[in-house]
Amino acid sequence: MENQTRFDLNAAIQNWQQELAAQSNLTPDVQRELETHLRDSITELRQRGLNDEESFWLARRRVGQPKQLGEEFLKADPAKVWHERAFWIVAFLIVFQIWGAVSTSLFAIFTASSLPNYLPPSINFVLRMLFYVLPVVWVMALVAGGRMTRQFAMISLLFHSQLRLGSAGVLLVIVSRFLQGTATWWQLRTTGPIAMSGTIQIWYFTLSTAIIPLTLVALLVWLMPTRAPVKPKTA
Amino acid sequence: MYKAAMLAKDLVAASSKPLVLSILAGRESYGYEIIQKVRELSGGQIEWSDGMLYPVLHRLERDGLIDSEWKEADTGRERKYYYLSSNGRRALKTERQQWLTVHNTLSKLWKIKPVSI
Repeated sequence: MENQTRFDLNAAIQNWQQELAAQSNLTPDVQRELETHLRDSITELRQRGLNDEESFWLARRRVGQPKQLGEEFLKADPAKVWHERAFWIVAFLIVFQIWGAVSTSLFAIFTASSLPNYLPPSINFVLRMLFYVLPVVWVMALVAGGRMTRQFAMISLLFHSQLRLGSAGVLLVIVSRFLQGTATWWQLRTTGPIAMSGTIQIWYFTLSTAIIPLTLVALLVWLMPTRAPVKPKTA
Repeated sequence: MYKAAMLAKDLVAASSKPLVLSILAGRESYGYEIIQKVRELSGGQIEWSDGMLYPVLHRLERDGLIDSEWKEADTGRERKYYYLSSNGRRALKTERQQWLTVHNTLSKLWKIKPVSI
């Protein structure tokens, strides 16, 4: 005589997980921890003779409302949310800086080597924008289409330690500046030979502009959330 | 469904740090077990809400007093275990002295035998 729909414990837990996931203050690690807590609680209640549904609702009640949990965590560490946001803002600024340098240099080399010496400013501007914007649109389209999962996995390797992230950042900045210096030198060379002092000046200027992105990299490393140690320390 | 905390809210919050550190000084443990232990030791007088403990644990971890690790329990289920760091051990010493100072002061006023710190 089953006139009630059967209670699906796993589905109920999954629903609850989704509610937790909607709370931006709860990191995936915290969500996982709360889930093990809920499951422990359910197991105990079932051992005391409650059925699946009763155990689930009681355990859920004891853990607390997802929204309330999010607020508790925020109260305990209000700076953390901003910390993470700041981290991603800085990361975005660095990517923006590096891409700016790379696309400017590629464009300069392209125009200096394969286009007539003089371009009307409007065409120059449009071409420049295409160089700058098109690859960004292309990458965004790939990301939106879910075609970049392998690249994402590779990028996420960079975030494993502060040293790795820092050295990758410094390397990218240096490579992009080097490219920019080469581009400037190339562009000037098309107008005639460059004296040694001119070359030194170009490199001095190019490398000095690396100070801002390098500062950003230092900031990024400093802001990087530290991970819990993998192995227990003997205290 | 379950008893409201018998202790005042402020006192519950203040005592959470020495309680967690003392429990972890015994051996590593996880959130669910810590709550149960506190309930058991206090004879049900200190009832922590589940949601309250985790922010406390995470704060202690951020302050470097405890460390954590995901480990598989005997049941095959993974749990996040916490253990005391050497900083935590030092912090526990200080906590212990402070709480006993309060305890002894009250003891003298209430004419109960004080304990040695």
